[in-house]
Amino acid sequence: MEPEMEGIRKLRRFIQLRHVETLSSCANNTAINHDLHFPPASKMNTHALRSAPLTMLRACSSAAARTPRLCILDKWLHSRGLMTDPTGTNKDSPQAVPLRKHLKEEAKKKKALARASGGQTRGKKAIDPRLEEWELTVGIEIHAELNTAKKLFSSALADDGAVDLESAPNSRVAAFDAALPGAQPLFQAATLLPAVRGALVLGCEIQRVSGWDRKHYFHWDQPNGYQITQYYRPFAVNGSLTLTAADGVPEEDLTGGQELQIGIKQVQMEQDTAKTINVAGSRYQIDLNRAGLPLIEIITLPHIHSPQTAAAVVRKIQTLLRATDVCVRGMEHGGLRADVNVSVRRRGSTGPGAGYGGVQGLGQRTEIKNLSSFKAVEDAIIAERNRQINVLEAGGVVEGETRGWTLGASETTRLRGKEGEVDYRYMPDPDLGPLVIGHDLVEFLRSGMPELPDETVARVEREYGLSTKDAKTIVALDDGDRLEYMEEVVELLTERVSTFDKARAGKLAANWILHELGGLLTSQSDGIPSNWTDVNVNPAELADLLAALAHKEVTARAAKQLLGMLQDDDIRTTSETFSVEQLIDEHGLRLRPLTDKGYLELAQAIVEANPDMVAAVRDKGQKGKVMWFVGQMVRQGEEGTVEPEKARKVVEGLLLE
Amino acid sequence: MNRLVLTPRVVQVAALNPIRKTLSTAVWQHALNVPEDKQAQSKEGQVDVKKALEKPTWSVSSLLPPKDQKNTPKVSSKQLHHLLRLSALPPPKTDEEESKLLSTLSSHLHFVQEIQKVDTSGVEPLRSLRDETIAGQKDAELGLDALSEALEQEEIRGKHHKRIRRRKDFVENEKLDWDPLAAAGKKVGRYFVIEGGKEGT
Repeated sequence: MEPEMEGIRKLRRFIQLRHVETLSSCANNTAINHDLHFPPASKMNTHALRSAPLTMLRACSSAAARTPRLCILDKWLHSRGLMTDPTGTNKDSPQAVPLRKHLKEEAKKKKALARASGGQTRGKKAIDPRLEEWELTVGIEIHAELNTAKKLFSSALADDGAVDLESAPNSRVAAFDAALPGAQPLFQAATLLPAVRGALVLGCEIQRVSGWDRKHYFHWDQPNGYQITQYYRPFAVNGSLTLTAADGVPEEDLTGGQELQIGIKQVQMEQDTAKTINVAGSRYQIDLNRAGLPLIEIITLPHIHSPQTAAAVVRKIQTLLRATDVCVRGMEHGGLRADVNVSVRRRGSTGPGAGYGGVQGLGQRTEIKNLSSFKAVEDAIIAERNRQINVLEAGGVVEGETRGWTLGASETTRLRGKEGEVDYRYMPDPDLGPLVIGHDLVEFLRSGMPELPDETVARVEREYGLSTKDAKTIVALDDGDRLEYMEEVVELLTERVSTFDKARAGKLAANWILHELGGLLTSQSDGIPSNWTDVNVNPAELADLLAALAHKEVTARAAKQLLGMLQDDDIRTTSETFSVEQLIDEHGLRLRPLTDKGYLELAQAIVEANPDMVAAVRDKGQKGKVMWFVGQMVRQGEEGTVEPEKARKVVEGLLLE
Repeated sequence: MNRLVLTPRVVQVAALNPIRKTLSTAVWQHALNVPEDKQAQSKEGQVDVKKALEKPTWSVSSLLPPKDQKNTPKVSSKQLHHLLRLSALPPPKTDEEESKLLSTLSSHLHFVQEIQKVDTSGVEPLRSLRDETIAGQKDAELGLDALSEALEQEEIRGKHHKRIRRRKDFVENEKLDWDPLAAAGKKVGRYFVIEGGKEGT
């Protein structure tokens, strides 16, 4: 989330620059210092900033409007040391516009691809005529690492990645994990908490009795020569997952409805394998820390009919597992991995594939193993779907085989076919008794389920008046801590400001917590972005600050300065007592409102000094430029004296009436 | 080599799954079913042990192919190599060794096929010897009591936005009391080292 916000900030800054540049070129080379363009986007004028450039561009003569765009991009890149010689003679420099080059190459690739597939573009609107004819069917198996203290069958510590990333290789290994002769598995009951919660959140029925099988294969990631799994006797069955358009399901898949149900065939517990690192040639290093970690494997029914929905399923499952503390490491950290089963058949026809989970008549399926990102899931399915259609249209036969996919590839590659298929020789593990899960435990966990992310987002929208986007952002950030912080601020703020209801306080608090406080975290003076845990400002202080702002004791600009002080480590450690009130007084930031006369005089001075801008507003009707004057007033007026809203009224009075 | 082939694992390989049936109690009930009239019971209802053991009523050899019958291998050479590879066993060095292996394997198969003739429908496989009484299952059940310690190691985080979180401070950072690498044939630093030959399996 943080990088995304950083991106938004950059974009906003870019738009500001472009805005100013356009202004200056329209206003016939009025010299404007690049550092002076805009007041830091305050709450009030952000909206104006966002919408301004478009109207500006339209208002300018077309020639003037078109050329500056390049020129500004150029300057912008240049100012950040990103742009090399614009004539392109300096191509070998390592600084050579990597992003631009990358985008160009991407576009080229896509064009070539579109040409190759018969001139279709991959745009959203362009529907591949072949997809009208062929139906895609996908089922997914997701392996999720359970959040537990111990391994599945030994008391060795499970490295959950959160505490001790640096733990030495082969330091969390019990005799059983290393398959020492005579070592016996001992089921660790605590692993049931995340496992059962994970199954419940996917709507599964928990089986009172389930069992353990050995799945045999010899590979160096598996010291025992078998993996203990529950494929034939899983502890949870018959679940379902509900998806909506908001989860990223394309409209075609919803077929007119509001939501889509994806059946979950079963959820089983099993062991993870050791980590193997290929060091050179055929030499591998083995770390058994991961061997025997508890996983759940979630198997969906073949109810998925588009690559986007497949990615949405995996994303949704990850979100649900995280919200219930089942799984703490996401796909990006290898805590979640997906295998997909893909088949195609002509719409309305019956394929030769074997039935699966009660679904018959599908095409022959292939399995693509070990996908480790949402994008990989989507792209691998697209590539495999296209490959299978090509094979079938050319009169060929799709083989039942296992295939692989690497990110960025345009095709899946064959790993092994049927004749090389491993026969796992499943057998019940005689060392382990059946797993018997008590009804009381299941009911206890069911009744104690936390609020799920969709419910939280809906509640935040409803109670605090946030937009869906902001609500989603704040819910997703910092493992829910940021939302907790916001709710605390809102509670305190409604106590402090009598005119604020929850929604008004919510919107203000969310804006400051997401954007202002979030901004402080990403732009630390040492250049290292901080985490949410580095926030020094406590909810009471932020509530005090926002109350002062609401009571018009400080300007928004001063409030931002104060927020910076509240967050500053040095100021906090040197000040003995620390309150927002004190800071306001110490730094003379209390709003001393200008008299109406003061506003008028300040505005007049600026108007007189900038006849060109005045002409732009008065004669050309560029009303958006009023905000430029407002910016000037805030900057030129004494600190803490000019309120932008009021300044705007005065400027409008002077220029437009 | 023959001895190696006779390990239970290879019997499983040969059976290619029906191992569950072979292990079932039904098989042994069937095999040991002693007809009424042969029961060595005295009139007083006392078992005459000596008499009972005098004459075998059944022999494993009845499940093996007759000695004079020429063994026609039902397993191809290719299948044999595949099975050996799956079991991480070395391939035969000579043709003679291979035909011997094939012959042993097909007598295994004969044995398994005989056993498969037993009707086990509706019989739960015996997976291991455990207390299967209701009380026994109750003992094995993992309910709230069994999980109470684990539940204590969780907390509800948040006053407004309540979330369940496993507490990490409970994880004792105990030192390993043994060195997993001590028996390693080859190691680098704290890693086991494998010379993998060709890529993957």
